[in-house]
Amino acid sequence: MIEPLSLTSIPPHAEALRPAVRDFVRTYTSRVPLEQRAHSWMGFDADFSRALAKRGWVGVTLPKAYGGAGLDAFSRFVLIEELLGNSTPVAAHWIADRQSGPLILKFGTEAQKDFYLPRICRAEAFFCIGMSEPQSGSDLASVRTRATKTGSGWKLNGQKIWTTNAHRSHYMIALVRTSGSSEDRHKGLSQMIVDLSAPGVRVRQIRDLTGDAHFNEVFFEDVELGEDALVGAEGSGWDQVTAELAFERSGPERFYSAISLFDVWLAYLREHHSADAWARELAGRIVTHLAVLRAMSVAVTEQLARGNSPVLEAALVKDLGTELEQYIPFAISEELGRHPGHHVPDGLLRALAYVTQICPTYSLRGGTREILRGMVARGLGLR
Amino acid sequence: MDPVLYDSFDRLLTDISTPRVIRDIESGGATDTLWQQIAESGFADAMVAEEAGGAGLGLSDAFGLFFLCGRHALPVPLAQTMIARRVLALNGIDIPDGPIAISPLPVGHTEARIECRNIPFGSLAQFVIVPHGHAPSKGKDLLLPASAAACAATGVHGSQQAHLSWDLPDSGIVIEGAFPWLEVAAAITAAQMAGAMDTVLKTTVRYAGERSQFGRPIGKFQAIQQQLSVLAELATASRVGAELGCQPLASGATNVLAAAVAKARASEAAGTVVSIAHGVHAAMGITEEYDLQLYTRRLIEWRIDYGSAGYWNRRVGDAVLSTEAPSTLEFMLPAFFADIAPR
Repeated sequence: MIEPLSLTSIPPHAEALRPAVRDFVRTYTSRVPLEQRAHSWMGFDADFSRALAKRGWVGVTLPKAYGGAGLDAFSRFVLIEELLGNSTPVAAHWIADRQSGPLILKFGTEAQKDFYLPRICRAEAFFCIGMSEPQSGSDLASVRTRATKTGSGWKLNGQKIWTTNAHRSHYMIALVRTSGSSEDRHKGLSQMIVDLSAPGVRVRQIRDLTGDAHFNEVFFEDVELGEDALVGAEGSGWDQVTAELAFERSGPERFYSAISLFDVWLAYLREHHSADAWARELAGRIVTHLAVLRAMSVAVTEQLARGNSPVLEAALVKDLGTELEQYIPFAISEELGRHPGHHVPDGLLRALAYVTQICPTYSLRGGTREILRGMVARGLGLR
Repeated sequence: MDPVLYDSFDRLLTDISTPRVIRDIESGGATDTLWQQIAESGFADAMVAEEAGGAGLGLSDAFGLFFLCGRHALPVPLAQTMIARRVLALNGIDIPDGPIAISPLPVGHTEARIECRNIPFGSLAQFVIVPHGHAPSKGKDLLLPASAAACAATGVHGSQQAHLSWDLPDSGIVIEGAFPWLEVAAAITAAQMAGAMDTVLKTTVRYAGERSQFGRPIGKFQAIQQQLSVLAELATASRVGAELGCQPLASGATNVLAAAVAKARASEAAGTVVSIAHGVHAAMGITEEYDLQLYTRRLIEWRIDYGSAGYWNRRVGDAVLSTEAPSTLEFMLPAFFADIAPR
């Protein structure tokens, strides 16, 4: 059964991080138009990531011995809340910071930790996640990309797709089959670190409906991997991937994705004194939902900080959070469209168009709505 | 909150607020026995200051008790009475026995007459707190005896609401200290709604596991599973929101904006929760005999008591649009989160 989420606060040691992050973020936001920031955590800016790393704010939960800051889940929550709440471009280091680093720390060998973690913390190693394949989306256990043992390591063949930022990343952590066939489902899967500059790796960008190209096809043709490419135990890939998901699904990135659009709309209403009763109620509704989601997310973070794996609770937060993120652009366009005579600035309209077009991805990445609800149903004892 | 207190209150309500008792009181039966059991338990004074003989729980400590009142569809205004007794004691007013209702803002308030409509639990309360409307009470709230009122039923089946009006209402006791009655009533109603949703969820999940169609329990169908997941999500969000609404400011004062969030979230969720629960139950859920209706009728009523989602969202929206904060984040953190105590 799903445990009730209890309200809790962020402890003072973590809150202490906030003012410095906020100052840092302000120097960035003062020179970048909000319109550009509407890309939120899909915005990729390697210089921004390296500037953050210089402050010690990439890989903060990793131990100091590996270049991290040795901080807890609450501290990371504060850090990324300020980064996302102000729509800074965190995509370059995002996956390494959220998932790959903690994964390597938990399951990696000492040599892997020594090699990758300091590079992650310096924002020199950007990671992407190789999960989906042309025939494996929600049914992830059916992956066919295969690593076969050679005398000196592994040989990788197959294809990944929808891999966000593969074209700008240094490494991929790929879920691949190391034994059996796709009928064996969860058995025989392993996680491999793939150097994307290795011979035999080909990355092809896929343009999206907004004109961007953030996701990719990645082809592997006889890619030679060393023995040290394997992360964790051979055959444990599925369990390792599942453990990552609680980190992936409950954070502020699941309800702040459209916040810069909301802020620019509020600024427009304030400036033009054009908020009628309907607009005020709408603004309130969005804040009401955000406040509750944030309280839920902090409650899940508390469980993560205690070492629990609140997978179901995280699924529940993500489903509700992405619903709000997708509501925001449609509600704002409805509001603006209620006043045909008003002059709406281009920047607001472009941000609105971008978020409205891209927001279907919010409930695809990290598990579709239907998959998440299936997990919640399992938590209710229905499956 | 204190788990021992929570569990003992849960057990008490399991024993005394049974579906049979609820149905009896809803159809006009006396509340004396139930109220006597509550009085003996001491929970009515849970929030009265310790020096005045109570347990001294704050709004935040008592959240779990409000939640349980809703989970058990307690057919008397215990949550409201707990609040009223605390405030009356603080103001040095002799606390009367019996259930106390909290009225929404009066629809009419002159020297000669006070008229309140749709007072939750107004049909059985012995006293009513009437928050001040306009000039005659000089901005003061009143404690008025229900016995002095003209009481009109709403005519809604099973409802415990009533319209009450008082002529020459100077018999009332003036509560000198200001208190945000509407906001606190909204927050505790949100907590009771979250409690009722909890029972609705459990009842509906159980039914989906028992009822078979096409050769298997309907809970095995993905279409039903997805609906129940949404129900669980909304119940969880309502509960967290209601707990947020019961957190005072660091000064100890009520956080009226957090209360607004609580009532808006639960009220919005309630419509969908009721609709899913009845949809999954089909015709059985509509019957008088099946217990689901004891909770869904309350949710339907409570979602507009003390202001609907639209009213409270508007209050939050006014605050957001008039803030000096440069971003929503910088508005939200001090407004809702700065004063939450660590667990």
